[in-house]
Amino acid sequence: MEDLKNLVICPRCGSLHKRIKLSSPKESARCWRCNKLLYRGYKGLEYQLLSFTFTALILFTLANLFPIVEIDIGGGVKSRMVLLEALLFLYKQGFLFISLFGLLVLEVFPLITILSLFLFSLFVVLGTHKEGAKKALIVAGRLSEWNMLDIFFISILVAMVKIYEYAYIDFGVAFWSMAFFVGIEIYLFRYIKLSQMWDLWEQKF
Amino acid sequence: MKYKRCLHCGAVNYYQDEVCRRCEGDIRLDKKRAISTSLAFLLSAIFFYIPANLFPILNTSKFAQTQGSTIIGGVIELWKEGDYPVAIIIFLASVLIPIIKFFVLFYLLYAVYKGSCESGKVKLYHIMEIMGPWSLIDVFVVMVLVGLIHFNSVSVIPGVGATSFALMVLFTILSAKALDPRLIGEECE
Ligand SMILES: [Zn+2]
Repeated sequence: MEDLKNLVICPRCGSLHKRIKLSSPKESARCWRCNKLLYRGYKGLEYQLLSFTFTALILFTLANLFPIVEIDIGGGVKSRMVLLEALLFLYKQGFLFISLFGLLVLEVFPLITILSLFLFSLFVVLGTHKEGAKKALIVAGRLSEWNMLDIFFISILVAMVKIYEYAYIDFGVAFWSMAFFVGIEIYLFRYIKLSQMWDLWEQKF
Repeated sequence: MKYKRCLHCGAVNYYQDEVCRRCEGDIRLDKKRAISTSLAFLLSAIFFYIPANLFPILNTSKFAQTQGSTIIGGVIELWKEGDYPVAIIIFLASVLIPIIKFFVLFYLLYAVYKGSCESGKVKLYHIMEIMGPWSLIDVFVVMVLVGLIHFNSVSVIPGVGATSFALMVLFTILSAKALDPRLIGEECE
């Protein structure tokens, strides 16, 4: 009987492969049939994850404490947008569904995702809490599909295109924090990918 | 077929297993359930497409005069003002792409039902999956405008259409998620 841990199935074409150990971080394993990337040979991935998620948590805090954008429509008439305030304002206007949906996909889910990943990498670095690390990774995986800060970030730019003729626009600290937070999220989930983190969990425990 | 891949964590499991050995995720390959769930979400999405386009997505009130603007109305206005590129982009993103997504989902549902395999269909599925949530741009733009523009002279309030639009996109995403790409790809022989 083949050990399941030593097998990989290509997510694109479904071909079965035997896992080989990669010795250098520069190496990557690709599908023999369709050339799709299967996994990479990371070294010290847990430390990389720990530093990235820690930075992301700080950025997330900044993105929520400060205004994302400030506009000035002339004559000293100014307005600023803090994300949570905007959501609360929507709620007060009677838009329960949109405000709640926004609260989940822009605040709650991104925060819990990164926090779980932070705990996961901390547990792997410490070499303790095997089950805790697993639970954290499950939560991060399920919720990462419902993180929509990247789309929101592009929406801010689209909204600014609509009003730049009428107002002077000033991007705040929160805007740049959000940009870097989204960048880290993309790096973690689109480049490193969850399957690689699961492989790490399997190797370390 | 002896093995199958877990969609949640990528682990290889035995074909008859129902729960992933590594992440405890559900790895059942249930064609009937995939089709019925996906179809139910798809029909809900189509239902909400109608009010999403019929009712204003946002209301602008200037000096106590309120004016609603629907998505189509916004496109027509932009077109009249000569902003052709922006008008075309918004028309594509908010009016045409949702309809294309409905057709693609029906097509993929039919492919799962028939069990017809092609790498092109799996690719189509992944494009759908990645593009799906991006239709929310319109809703988020309304959110930003509402959050910023509430002056005495002019203010922006979301319209009923915005809620319908958000629901439509949400149901489209759920419909795509309910479809199992393994049923048109690796497990389909
Ligand atoms: Zn799994």
